[in-house]
Amino acid sequence: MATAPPFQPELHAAALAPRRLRGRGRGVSWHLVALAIATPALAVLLVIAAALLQPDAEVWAHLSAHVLPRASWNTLWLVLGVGLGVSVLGTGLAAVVALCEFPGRAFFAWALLLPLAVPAYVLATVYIGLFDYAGPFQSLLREHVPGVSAIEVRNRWGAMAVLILTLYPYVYLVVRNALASQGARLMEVARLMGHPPAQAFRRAALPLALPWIGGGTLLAMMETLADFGAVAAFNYDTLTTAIYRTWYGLFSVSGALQIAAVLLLFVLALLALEQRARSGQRFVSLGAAPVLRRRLAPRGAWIATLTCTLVWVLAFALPVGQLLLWAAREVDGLDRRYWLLAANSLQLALGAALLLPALALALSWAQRRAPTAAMSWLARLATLGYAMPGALLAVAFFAAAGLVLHGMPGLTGMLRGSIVLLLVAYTVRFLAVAATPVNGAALRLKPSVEEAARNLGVSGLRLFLKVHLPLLRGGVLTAALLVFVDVMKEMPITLMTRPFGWDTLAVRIFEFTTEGQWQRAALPALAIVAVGLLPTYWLHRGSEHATLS
Amino acid sequence: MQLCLEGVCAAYDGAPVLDQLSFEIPAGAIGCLLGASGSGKTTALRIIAGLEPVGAGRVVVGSRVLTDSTGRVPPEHRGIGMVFQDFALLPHLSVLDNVRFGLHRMPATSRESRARDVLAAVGLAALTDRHPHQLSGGQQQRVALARALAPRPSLLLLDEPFSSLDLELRESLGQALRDLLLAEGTTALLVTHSQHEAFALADLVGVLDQGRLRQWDTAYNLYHRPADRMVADFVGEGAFLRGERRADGTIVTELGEFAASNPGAAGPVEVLLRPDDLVHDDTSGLRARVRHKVFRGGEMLYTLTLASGAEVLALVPSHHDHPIGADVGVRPDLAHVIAFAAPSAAPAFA
Amino acid sequence: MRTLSRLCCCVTALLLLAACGGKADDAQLVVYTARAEHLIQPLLLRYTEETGIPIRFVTDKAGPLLARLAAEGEATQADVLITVDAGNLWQATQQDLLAPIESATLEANVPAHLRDPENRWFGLSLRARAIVYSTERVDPDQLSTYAGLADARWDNRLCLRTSKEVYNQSLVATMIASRGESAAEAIVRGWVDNLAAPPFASDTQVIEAIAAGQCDVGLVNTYYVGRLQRQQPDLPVALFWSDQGSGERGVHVNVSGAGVTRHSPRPAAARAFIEWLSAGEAQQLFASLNLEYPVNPQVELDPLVAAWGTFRADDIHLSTAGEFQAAAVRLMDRAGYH
Repeated sequence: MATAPPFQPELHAAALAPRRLRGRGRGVSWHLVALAIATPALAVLLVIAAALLQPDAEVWAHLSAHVLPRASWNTLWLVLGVGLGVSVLGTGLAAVVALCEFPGRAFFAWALLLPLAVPAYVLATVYIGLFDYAGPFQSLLREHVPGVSAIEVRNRWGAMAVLILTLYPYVYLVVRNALASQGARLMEVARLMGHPPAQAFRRAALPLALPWIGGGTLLAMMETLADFGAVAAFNYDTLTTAIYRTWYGLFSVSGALQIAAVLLLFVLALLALEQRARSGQRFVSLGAAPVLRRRLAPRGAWIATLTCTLVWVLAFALPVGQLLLWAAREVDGLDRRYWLLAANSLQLALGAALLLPALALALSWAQRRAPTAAMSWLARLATLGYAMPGALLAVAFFAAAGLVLHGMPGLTGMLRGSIVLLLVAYTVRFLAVAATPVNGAALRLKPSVEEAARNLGVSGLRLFLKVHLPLLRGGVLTAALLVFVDVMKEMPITLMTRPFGWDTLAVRIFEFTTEGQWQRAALPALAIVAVGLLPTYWLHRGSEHATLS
Repeated sequence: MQLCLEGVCAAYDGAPVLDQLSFEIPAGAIGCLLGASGSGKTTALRIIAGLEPVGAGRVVVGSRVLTDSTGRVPPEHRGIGMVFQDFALLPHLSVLDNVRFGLHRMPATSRESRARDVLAAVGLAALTDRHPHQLSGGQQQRVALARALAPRPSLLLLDEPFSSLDLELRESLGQALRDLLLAEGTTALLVTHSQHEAFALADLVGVLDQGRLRQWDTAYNLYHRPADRMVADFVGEGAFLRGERRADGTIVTELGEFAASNPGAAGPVEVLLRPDDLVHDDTSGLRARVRHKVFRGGEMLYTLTLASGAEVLALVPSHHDHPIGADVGVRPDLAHVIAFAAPSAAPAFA
Repeated sequence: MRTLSRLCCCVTALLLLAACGGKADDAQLVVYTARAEHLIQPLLLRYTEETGIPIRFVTDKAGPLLARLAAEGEATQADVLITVDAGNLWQATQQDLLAPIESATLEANVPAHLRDPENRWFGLSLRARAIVYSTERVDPDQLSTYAGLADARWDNRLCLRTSKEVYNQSLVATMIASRGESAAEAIVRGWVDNLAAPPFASDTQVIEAIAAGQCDVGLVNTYYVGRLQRQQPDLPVALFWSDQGSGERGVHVNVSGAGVTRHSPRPAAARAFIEWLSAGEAQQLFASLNLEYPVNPQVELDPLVAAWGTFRADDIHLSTAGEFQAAAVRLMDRAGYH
């Protein structure tokens, strides 16, 4: 790592405020670092852009007349609905857990993260199985309530509900940490200024948490844009399902890429929104003393406990219970291979969980050191992949890798047989997941701490390792966990890019579900959830600790 | 309004934090709880603010019981202002909006003028549109103060208000704060670990030690008539000189005989000797050797060794400059002779 | 910090280790398969047992597999492509991903309409898309043809799987080929009008909806019924063989099939493997693993499958399913069949 230009004392503590560079050459090297990280994503975007240059006019005419209006409208509804849902649910739960004391709080603080480990397609399938007309819920209803009419769950609202229940932890996690570290103190201030609790939350804690709410919601919305499994289970047509239909049904890859371009418009709109939210994100110093949570009155405490229980049951206990029931019938399918599959999944997820936060850190660091327009574009482009449907990304990535590796048969052969390509592909897909919490944590780095360290003669790599990394610990841990569970659940990229023999638990789920055998898929699905539990717990502990320290 | 704590007890995770805390601050006066970190002073403040419950006892402001062991008035209904140690400014609001934040019960028309008035009083009239992160530490502190004062609280609480500020700022802000509080007629309680802050600001000071209030008194009395050895040790500089208390109350030390100001049993004692209790007098027959000296501008603080080997402090006009190792003449000049029973049973100097 | 550097070392080592994995080998076969692992692996193991040739394989959906083959080009290690649905096989030939196979064995074992006219792919198992109906509420005499399901009699009684599923796309494609586009569109619009519930994501859900009483008739691949019947033998649904009258085309069938990749490093071994799959026990196993019908008429049916009775299959050449698939998708889009 190059020695960075000396820090200048500044009144503006906004850590990422533009700073003139003293050494031009260092700026260049930081740009190179960012470019290297963004290269795979850029290559993929180039492949997509290149496909746009040869548009399939006939397919496009059909799509724009019969497919895109409906798919765009549906997508808009879904993204906005999920965005609203996760921000309200995630923030509400985070506030209750971070600011209040009620029976079961310690359990829920952790348990409300668990739905992270449940893939959206699993929840969707379980819900349709349980709540659709033929499912036990409505069957019982018909049995006991004569004349009750059919309730259609396979629609917009069903898809929205399932995605909200799987994606709210993105908001919950970051907002809880932000509120726990600073929000409680500001709540006290507001109350001492004569504002009752609800008003104190709205006027003091909520504005503080807004940037984090925005960041988490953006992640959830991007994931919603890219989701195929859950919306396909609900047969709810979005731009992503239209991409697959155009590709697999109309055999038109260029048509699919054209829809992807429309999808990118959605993403850019979201990014613009997030940019606005982030501009309000200011440096906030951490309160020194841990603040006591407000003990709720019995009625409030009951409501809090019940709400948390309800969300936890709906988003976690119910689907896992159903999977357990299914898996119990298939338990003879549990053979030695599962260990292998789990080991593969684990290895990939761990590899990505180490690699991606590191890259996100480097990117965040490069932005801090050389805050130019080009740099922020590089950072933006490097994280676009999160909103792209995985399979499309996989195809584009494969094509891009083919181009880059063309004429290097030796290297190609070596890479083909290794998981390096897979990790690079995960980088394109999931860097956004790592970047959001890391950047959030970087915002809270006081320049004064860095100045103090430099003053003591600590700089460069040592400064980073001794000072910044420990301070960024919470953000890095969050990034690692989110990447870990996302990679565990990831299907299309793993399917297409994995070397021979690198079957994972998600691949196993694919094998069964592709033939509609959901009950048999329960075992690997449970395994994914189980493997995700431990890191979720670690993360919870780590972030709670990082909050207090 | 008058603040009164009566037998307040609090525990945290089973460990007692406050033990029978009782004191009273008359309306318009400034009180201070002085204690080391962990003494329970911040907990006391938070209890008064309504942020934490009590195990026993009660908190009364004016004639209103705000907290007792059965319950408490919520913080937002207490009319108590608080300045936090870390200022806790709302980062998303401008300086003016931070101050206006607590004025929502005022008529809308007078909110802004009140906020501007208070900001002017703390000398920040020019910075109303800034955001907290654009301010220096001293400026942030003043915003926090203005914010707490703006709603005209019946009581103002200050948690280590100057701990993050440099010494010079402390002194100037301290004086300004005292003037402001007096002008507003606000009763105030601050907690601090710094006796300078306590003495500079407070009319009444209490020394808190492991949750127990050792003494609640004026600064003068704390300094010159400490209730026990802990207070004497904690407040101000000084040395303890061994001696013997006779049955008639006379105390014999190597510096001479004195009439004790406080009662006590006969036997070996230690006499509190403040630096200003020992006067430099070249004509005196009592000699002491200079062991260490600190230049304090107008005065010099000497650490002296007496013939017995005991160390004492003496504050001397700084033009009396003696080298280390020199013998100087000293003369005791005690207005109050405070003696505590000596901690060990070793025979004292007679 | 030592932990961090140690961690970095571990990761690097891990990556290097992984990088030394794959290497080309002549005495083996590489298979890309869109047929799920549990439906194909027993056969691959059997083949290795019998011939000593190890087989490595990856599974994925047909679309990504074709894209992968195309991207790999001449560098591909794949010898054999196995995929479900004639449409996908046809698409593979359109992208020139499959090489012709000269094999008298295959030509003898696989009927002409179930293989590529230029012998670039051969069907290996047959799946029939039949009408499924409620035995409680439907008199099978009222059932006749796929087109008949557009009849007003079935208003609010029909359940269909989503048109995103290739099985429905192939069915409509052959309808376009045999009846013309406008007639096919009228039928599809009639289906959409008769729907009792929005289209389902899977055939299994269609059958369950019929059993639960949400609707009375549907269109499904027979093996889905077979699977459910294995778990619940008294399920109140039955299969009806559509279009059996004289002058009618017969039950719509589709295949899963295989071909040798254009750039296969081992084309002879690949051909031998596909030949092996087309006959004898392998052919029987291939079909019965998924309760399908063997393409080879000499091979016996699984007993459960045989119990459904015999039917006359549509003998339209399956490559037409691929040719008209895009037209079928567009038609269904227009008709509001989502």
